[in-house]
Amino acid sequence: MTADVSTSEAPPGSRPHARPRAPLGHRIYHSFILRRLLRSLFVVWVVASGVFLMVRLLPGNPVDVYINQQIALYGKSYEQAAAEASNFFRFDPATPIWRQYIDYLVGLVQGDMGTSIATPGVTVTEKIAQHLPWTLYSVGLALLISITIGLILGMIMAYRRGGVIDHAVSIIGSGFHAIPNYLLAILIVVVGAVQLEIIDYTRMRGNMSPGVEPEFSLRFLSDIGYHATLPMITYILTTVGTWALIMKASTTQVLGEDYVTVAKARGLKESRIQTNYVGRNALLPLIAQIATQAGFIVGGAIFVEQTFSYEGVGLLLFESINTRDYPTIQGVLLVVTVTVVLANLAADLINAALDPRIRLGEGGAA
Amino acid sequence: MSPETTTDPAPVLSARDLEVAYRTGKDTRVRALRGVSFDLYPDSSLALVGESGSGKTTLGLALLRLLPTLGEITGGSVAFTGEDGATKDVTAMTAQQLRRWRWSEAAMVFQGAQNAFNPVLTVGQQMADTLLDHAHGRMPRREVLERSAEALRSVRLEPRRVLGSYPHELSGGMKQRALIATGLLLRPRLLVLDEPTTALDILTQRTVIDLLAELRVEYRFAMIFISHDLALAAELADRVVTMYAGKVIETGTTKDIFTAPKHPYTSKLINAVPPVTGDLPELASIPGAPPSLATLPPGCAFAPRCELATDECREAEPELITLTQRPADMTHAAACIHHDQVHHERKVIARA
Repeated sequence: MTADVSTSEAPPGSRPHARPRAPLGHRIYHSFILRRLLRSLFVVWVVASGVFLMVRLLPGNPVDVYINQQIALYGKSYEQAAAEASNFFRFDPATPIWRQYIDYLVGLVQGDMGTSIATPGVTVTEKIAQHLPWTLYSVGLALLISITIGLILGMIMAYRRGGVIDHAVSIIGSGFHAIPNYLLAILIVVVGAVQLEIIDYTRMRGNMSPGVEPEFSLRFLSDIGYHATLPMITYILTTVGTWALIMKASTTQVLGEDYVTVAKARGLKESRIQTNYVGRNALLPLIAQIATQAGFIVGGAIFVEQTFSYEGVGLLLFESINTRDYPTIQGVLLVVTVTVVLANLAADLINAALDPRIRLGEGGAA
Repeated sequence: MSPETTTDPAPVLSARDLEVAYRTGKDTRVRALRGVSFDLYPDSSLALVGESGSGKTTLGLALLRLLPTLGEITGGSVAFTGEDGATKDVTAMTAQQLRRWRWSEAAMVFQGAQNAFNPVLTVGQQMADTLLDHAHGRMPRREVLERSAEALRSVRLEPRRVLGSYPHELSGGMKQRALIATGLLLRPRLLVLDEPTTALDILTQRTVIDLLAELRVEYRFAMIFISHDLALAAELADRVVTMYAGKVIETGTTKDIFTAPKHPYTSKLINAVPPVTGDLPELASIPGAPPSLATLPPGCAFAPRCELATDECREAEPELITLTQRPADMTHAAACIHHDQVHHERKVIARA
């Protein structure tokens, strides 16, 4: 009876045989975005727990490491160093692990990543907030440049297969791809700064020159650009060839598709064919890979930042591992995890926007 | 559907001694077309038939200069005469001239329409691209929509539904018709159709064939129809050109070819096809396989598979011999020295 009334009262224009709406619980269960978010949260929890356990499997705890350092550096006796350590640290390694774990999770839910052990009084959030922007800036910008150049080179290579650019980029690109970025960083320092003396390493290291304050001015911007040059060159050189080769393969495949020949037959302008017909389709399979790369923004920076004394989150991770600063390690790796998860989520959404064959419908085929 | 008026005897398209070669190695080439000549008159329709690998598709692509990178026109010419009566040499056009000429005067409907549309753009956007790029980007939005809708309606598609659809949202038959509609957008004088019905089921094939017959009357384009389906060729074409190993081996009116083929290959080709209606004849497959274009025999390329072949056939490649001299577009010619021995008959086997 009620159902009859509701259909007869349906506004004009609505489909006459619209499916009855599923129960709320059912719809929530089938909502793509919601399921996607829940899955992401689950991934973050699994990684956070794994990291929590694994950092505690590292040999030595923060107190031991501190005591050993004091003995090694200042020749103190063990008793003396241990007494200093107990004053210095508010961390008791004897706390049962499950207790630490519960505290950690409760803190996380409240948005609190804990307090650094190695530098008491400073929260992990503060530490990360201090370091993360530098890494995001240097690695992010380098990735952006590398991907842009790589994609353009790749397209040119595909269009002129067997040409000079194709051969040159293939050889040079795969050569640089084979060199790990920390090794290239060391090479730059050893060859460029020490042997050839064309790089003023002592001035270029660090985030910015002494005396320069973070502010929105040309002086500040040019100074951080100057200091980020070496790490950025390292990141770009080690990744650009890979992007070019991937894009070449993808473009070559698209160039062989019927719709490109048909577009040519239709007398479309070459520029339109290159962008909307070839470029857009060649880019689609690369978006997921670009998103995964975003995760390496932090991970890939560890040794490079150390080599150039660039105070980013990679260097922070390096130092916190050295001092067994559990909360900071956990915090940095949590940020990495969240970056990767978010980047993948973004890749899905971008893919759906660019490729009409993938649409995120409610209760879709997935 | 023979032309009623022959006031304009100049062919729309005239290929002379067209040669195409594909690079297969650094210095090695394979000749895919070996001196192909034919004329296509306004409002007429020509079927190119032959086995796979005979060069039909290569010829279609060469006519619009759409050969893949490895292919190259190595000789001969293709002359196109426009509405204004001016004749242009397609093989000598610059990239810019080619771009303007393609689709506005000569359009092509490709084999496998399933991939003919860009998957990330709607059909409407792709039709608009075509119109805009031929109007130097200046065409009011309303006109773009009207012309696209008109073309879609002429192929019995509902513009409101199809224009906003992505290719994957259309069925195979709808895609094929949408592609034909796109071909008609600029009202070309020539439409080349490469196996337009191959990927379709038999009912959809019927729809497309009927549609093409109607569209020819409405849009008045000359048509080149590439097909291995002889039944289709018989239905749609005024003239038939049989190709074998990159060469034209017989050409004649549809009636000549189907009732009295004078090349043994054409005769066998016809006997290998079952008719859609009527009694089932004995189907005879042609023994052997088409020759590899890389290692052609010295004489007639068909000789190794031919019962009539003599030593003379194996010595020199036969030229086209004119059999019945009629007005230019009615000639029947075959490249066989034993053409008088070809007696075409279909043996009909009694139905059980």
